[in-house]
Amino acid sequence: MSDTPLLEVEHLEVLFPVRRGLLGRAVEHVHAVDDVTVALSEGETLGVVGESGCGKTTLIRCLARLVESTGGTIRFRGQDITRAGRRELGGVRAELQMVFQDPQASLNPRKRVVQILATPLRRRGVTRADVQTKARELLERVGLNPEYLNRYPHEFSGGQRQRVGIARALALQPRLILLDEPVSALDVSIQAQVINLLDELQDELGLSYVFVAHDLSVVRHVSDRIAVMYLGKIVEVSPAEELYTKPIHPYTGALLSAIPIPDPRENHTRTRVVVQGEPPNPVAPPPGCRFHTRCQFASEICSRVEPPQVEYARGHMAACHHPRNVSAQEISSAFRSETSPRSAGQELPAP
Amino acid sequence: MAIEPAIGSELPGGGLPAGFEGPVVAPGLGPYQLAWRRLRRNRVALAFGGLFVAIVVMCLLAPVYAQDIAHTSPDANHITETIKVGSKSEEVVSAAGIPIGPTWHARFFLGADQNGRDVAVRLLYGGRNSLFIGAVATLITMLLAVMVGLVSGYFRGPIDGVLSRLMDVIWAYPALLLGVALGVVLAVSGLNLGLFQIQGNSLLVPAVIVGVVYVPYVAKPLRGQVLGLREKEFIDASRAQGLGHVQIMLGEVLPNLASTIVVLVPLMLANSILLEASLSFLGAGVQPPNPSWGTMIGDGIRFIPAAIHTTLVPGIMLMLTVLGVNVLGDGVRDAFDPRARIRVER
Repeated sequence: MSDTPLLEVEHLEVLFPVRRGLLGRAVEHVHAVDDVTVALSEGETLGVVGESGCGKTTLIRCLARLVESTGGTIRFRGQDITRAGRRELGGVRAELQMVFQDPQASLNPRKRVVQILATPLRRRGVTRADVQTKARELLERVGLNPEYLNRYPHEFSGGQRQRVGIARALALQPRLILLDEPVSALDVSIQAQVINLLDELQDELGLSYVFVAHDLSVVRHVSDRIAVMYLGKIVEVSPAEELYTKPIHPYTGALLSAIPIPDPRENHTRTRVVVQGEPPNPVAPPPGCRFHTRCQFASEICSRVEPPQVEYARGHMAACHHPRNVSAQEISSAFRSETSPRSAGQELPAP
Repeated sequence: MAIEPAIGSELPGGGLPAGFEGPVVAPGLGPYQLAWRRLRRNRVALAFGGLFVAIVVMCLLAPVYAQDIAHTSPDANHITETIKVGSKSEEVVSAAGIPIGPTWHARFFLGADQNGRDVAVRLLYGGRNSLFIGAVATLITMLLAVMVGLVSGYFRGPIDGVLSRLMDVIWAYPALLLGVALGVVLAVSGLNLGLFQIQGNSLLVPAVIVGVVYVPYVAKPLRGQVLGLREKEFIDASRAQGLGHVQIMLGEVLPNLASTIVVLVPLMLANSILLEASLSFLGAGVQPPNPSWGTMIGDGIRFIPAAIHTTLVPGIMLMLTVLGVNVLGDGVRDAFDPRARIRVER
């Protein structure tokens, strides 16, 4: 791991205008990603979880520069790519590739696999004569039969299509792959295969991943660190295992207790934290802590002051006034993290 | 970091995935091959396509027929001549001005028109003009419509607004009325577009008119399709690879429009030929003395009671051509129809 992180995201903000009226003036904004700060080192996998509409897909699409941010900076190897145009982005684009959620929609139905792979290969400077061999290598690398080169996407199963999608991302020899729910459209057995493939590729090629998912058990296996998002904000970042054993933010706790346990007896004995109601409207997010409207531990301060990111032991961070699963001693030694949102207050949780 | 999958655990990511589903159709067959296979089995469509091809070939051979069989030219007047039909000789155009009907001889096989010109020769030459105009008009329609549809569907926003309103302006006029208006003006003045200068009596004038008038009819559905396609993830994927707008439009979006375009071409060809005939019939299309099926019908209409062949012959030819193209077009559409997949065979 080098000193500069591979990817640094600082105070990133994506607001979508809600246009009304004849002139289409933006009357209000959807706060899709609101002041997110997170970093990723070389070879690391960052999992991003959260319920539907929490902004995780917007975040990753913004990192791939498919959605324009409205504030904050994205740095890749220290280079600011937040506003870089297509030409300036050129080299970085290759190092930063994306795998999409729907393997059916992410492959052009009118192109053969070899043509799909040829586009990025040619951009990388592979000569026309070598495209065929390189494409074969790529297919083999993702565990597909190289003879499938001349097939169309509709001739594959879902898992195979997603492998083609991964091969396409690999074609540019990236350092970082942004995975937008890469397995959520696949069968459980196929999910495992694809995840194992991703895992292998990471070991062989030293890739870094940002892995977006709403399935916590999938994220647990692939991630080194996990960020939990709620309504456009990161509420907790933690080393993967610790998040599951010691969730600090009440929202994380609620997410974890929503994971189904296959054993009915065990399932019966556990106490489930059920979050009431729907997430608030992201057009007008609640003041203070965004989760306070649904949080069972909420107090007066939660609706008034936005909690800062508080760093506990082992790089475990959470933005909550009433942290769970931490001792008084841990709370007293905790400090306000620099990654806190700009609008966050100074108050630290009391032991 | 191992996962315990319920099935397929014997496959640690590498190798062929278990439960590989065999291909639904023969491997590597593209949509065009599949469509061609289906079209090949559609005898009716092929027969009518053959009819159209036969008409095209006949029209292309017009000079051969004129020189070697009829020994005349499309514009040659034989108004004062007489011709032997059987044992008696008849005037080509009688004293009352009635042209002779079909003689079944080499010259005036299908009779003469009011100027004593050979109808069969003019029919073939007129067919050349009609088909040429139809083809050029279809080409113009398709090129412009694909450009407009791609650009406005892909960029949306203000560009789409301007282009779509422009299409609406053209669309607001009935095609025939707009064609007549343009045709009358342009036939007099010719067309002057800077580098492009077209004489008023050129065949390109009706071709351009017909081509432009039909652009919105094709551009609108294409734009709609592009609007849907641009939201697909494979467009995002190519953006993530660093492709530019033009590369995405031509390399990613256009191939997905191809089947629509292929289906639309025969239909637009038939429509263009018909509109050209209508314009020429009304005197706003092909200018005399150039023949076309429309002008021939228009010229002959006064003689319908006495010499019905002058309108009937080009009329039947026009009908057969349009019928041939349309049935072929229907066949092509069926061949590309995804709902017809049931009939796919290996």
